[in-house]
Amino acid sequence: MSGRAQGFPAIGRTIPAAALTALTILVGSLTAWLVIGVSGWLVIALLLVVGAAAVPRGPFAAILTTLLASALVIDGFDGYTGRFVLLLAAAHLLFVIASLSAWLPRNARVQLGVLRPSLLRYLGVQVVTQAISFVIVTFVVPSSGPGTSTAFVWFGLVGGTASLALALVVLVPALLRPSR
Amino acid sequence: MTDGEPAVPRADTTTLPARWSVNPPVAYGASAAVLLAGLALVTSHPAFALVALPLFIGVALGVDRRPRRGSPVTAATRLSPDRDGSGVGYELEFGLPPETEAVAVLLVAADGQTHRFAVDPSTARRLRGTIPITHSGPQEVAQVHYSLLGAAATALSSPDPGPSSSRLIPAPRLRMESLPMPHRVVGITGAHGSSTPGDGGEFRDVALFTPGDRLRRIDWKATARRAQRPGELYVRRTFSTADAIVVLVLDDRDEVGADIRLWAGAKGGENTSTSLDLAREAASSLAAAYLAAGDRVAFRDLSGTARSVEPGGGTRHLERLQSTIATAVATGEPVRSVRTPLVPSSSLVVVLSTFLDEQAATMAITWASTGHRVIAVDVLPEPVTDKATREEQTAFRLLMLERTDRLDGMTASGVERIHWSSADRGAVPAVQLRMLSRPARHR
Repeated sequence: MSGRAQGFPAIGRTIPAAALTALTILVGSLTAWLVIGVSGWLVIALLLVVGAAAVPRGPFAAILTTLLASALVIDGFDGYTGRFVLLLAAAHLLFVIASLSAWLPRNARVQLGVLRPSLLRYLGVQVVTQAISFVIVTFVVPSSGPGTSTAFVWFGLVGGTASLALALVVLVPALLRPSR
Repeated sequence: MTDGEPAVPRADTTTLPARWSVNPPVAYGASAAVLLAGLALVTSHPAFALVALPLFIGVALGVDRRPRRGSPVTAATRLSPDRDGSGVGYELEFGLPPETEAVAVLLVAADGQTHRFAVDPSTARRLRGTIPITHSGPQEVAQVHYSLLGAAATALSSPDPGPSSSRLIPAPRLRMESLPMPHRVVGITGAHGSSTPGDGGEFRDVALFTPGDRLRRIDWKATARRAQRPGELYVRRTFSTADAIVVLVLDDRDEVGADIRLWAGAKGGENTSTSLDLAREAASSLAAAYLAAGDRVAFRDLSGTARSVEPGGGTRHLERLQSTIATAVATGEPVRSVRTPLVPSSSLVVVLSTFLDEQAATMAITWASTGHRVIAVDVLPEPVTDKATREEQTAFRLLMLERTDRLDGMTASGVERIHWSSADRGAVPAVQLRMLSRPARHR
């Protein structure tokens, strides 16, 4: 509390909202560099990272996620590797940070308790997502062996259809009516 | 409530329905997830669907926890008085919908500071702090705006105004002991000696006993010395005591701070005492000191925002004066023509002003010329010119030259002058008043 202005309420330990902005830049830049490598796309990805940090209410984090996923596939998807794990974790983390940064006032002090629910949700979702990804990529769709390409295609079709169905059934109504 | 319990401060409360909307990154994230799912479908590559999966789950978690439409949010602010000079304590309480995950608060304090913070719902039930108070008078001590985050961070509420708490902050009081008196005291009783024969005052003379004189006034020594005939008695006669009438005239037509750049009415908060803060402090201190000495004190203001208080004494009169002085505020544009307030005869007139224009100075000279003792209390704060432009500095110098001429004119007309400065700067007002309270040397 010592460095805080007089009149600030006693709310315990806090971090500045700018720390989330810094985390966006750090995670976004590192992931873009590791997933894309040094190329012209890296410049675009870094610009998107800056956009996501500066305007968290904008679409930059979402575009960056799409770009990184496309880069991973175009570059050659080689199974459940470190790059893929990092992309899964980073894309989700950027989404979570953007959700908080879009709401927080700039220059705000954020009580650590505010971050706890988002952090716990992030960890829970990551555990589930990484486990599913590991099982699918390693066992259901092995990167080599007979019938790989057929299973790969079928899983892509099933996964895509299921995701779109989920989006239509759950997400669209939720986005149209944020309150019950 | 029993007598021993402290009074619970009243709460300023607002209750508004929360206006929920989708968190924009969630909408974009969902769009990206749909796009990735589409790519998975088109390219038949599961990596796209797997990257989209956490985004889908993140949004889906929020769907189940959607807040109810129009659920009310209650925000209440309680202010507690400044007892130890550290500032006004505040308690901010939120009554939140159960789906709320966090609250972002913007608190604009009376000292001009804007505090932005985000807290969890349990902390938001009661937030406490202390707002330092720089200025006296009526002011908005705390103003609150808030926004909620809910539904697993997928929904947020539009910023809503919370309570705005205004209070009348009394001016601080300095302790003073030696006070200047009017040229004549005319009251019927009091702490000061008068020139009227009566009881209680200093020795006047020894005279022959006349009917009506009290027996205890007989001076037996004088009688033994002076009596010519039997039965001739001499009594000691004294002057009566009297109280002084002090009229405090507060020039509250304008309010200037130390920073001369803001004198033209530019926007911006003053972090140091303004002229009106000093004037209120001076008026409040003088009123308390004169009333403690048993004198009667009246109050007039020049802008008409505070009511006039007729001469009176006692504790309740002091409370009346304090509250009236605290309500004196500047009205924006200084009024050009101001009627000279009426002051009782033989009173001491104390004019508290910046003397940046003629009005208060002219009144002071008028009162001095009609036989009143007039003390001008200069409440202009120590000007800060460092950051001013050359043009502003030139204008300031011209203004100060005019002011100096005005002050010299007042001194030449018999108006005595002191400068009231904040505690850490310049000569202490009490010392200057002590100098004025010394008997005047007649030339």
